[in-house]
Amino acid sequence: MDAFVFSEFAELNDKEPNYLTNRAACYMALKRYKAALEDCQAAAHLQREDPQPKTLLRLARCQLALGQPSQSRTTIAALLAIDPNNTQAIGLRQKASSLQDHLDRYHKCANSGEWTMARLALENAERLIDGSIPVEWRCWKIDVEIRRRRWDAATSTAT
Amino acid sequence: MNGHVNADPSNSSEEESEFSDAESEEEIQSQEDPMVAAEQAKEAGNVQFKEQRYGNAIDLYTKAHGECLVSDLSGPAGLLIGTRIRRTPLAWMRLFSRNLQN
Repeated sequence: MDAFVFSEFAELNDKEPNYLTNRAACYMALKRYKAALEDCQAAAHLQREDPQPKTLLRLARCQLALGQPSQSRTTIAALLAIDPNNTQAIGLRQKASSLQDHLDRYHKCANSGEWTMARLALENAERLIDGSIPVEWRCWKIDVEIRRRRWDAATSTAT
Repeated sequence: MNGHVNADPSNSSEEESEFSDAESEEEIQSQEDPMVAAEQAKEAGNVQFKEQRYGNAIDLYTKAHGECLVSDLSGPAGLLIGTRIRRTPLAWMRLFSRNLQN
């Protein structure tokens, strides 16, 4: 009796990631990327023995929307390893690379005290993400405005 | 990004659900078999998704997911927890006979 009960559970588990990725799609449509990310991560974990491009693509999109280009690129790399011709993944990789470039430029400018350029890089990065601005970026922006002695802008960003 | 998401959340070839008739055999089975209930909830969720009623779709996918929370369990503990599934004695007999036939 155990055998068929457990085989049935195995069948259930095979389908479970689909429920999660479908729900993730709903969260993404509502721009609730954090919740979508959690579902995609859970689905990817369940599919770890047999990664699915659909799940990885959604995961990469969520990571990008949440301002995580590095993680997004890692996910896209895993996706392209199993589906090298996935055009959506290739396009997303380009977007993630652009975002990473803007963030790198921000850090470079901030380190050299070029605050106007740092602000510009941060604004360019913000344009590339679909979700809300990450808290860390907002803190960077406040810092930039303070360095530029733009007190009103800093206050506005903080609130 | 939203444009990508508006595609079918699952496979577009999935068939429409057939569980509108209250007295159908499938509904009776779904009350007892979590697999059927989960799939029906998913299909209903797909319909809601296509109609862009994302909140409803989320509820239905959550319901589908809830039907198969027991995962990665093996041994007696898995069997014990597995009996959380609302399966009547009749459903157990059906399941058992189905396995015997297979």
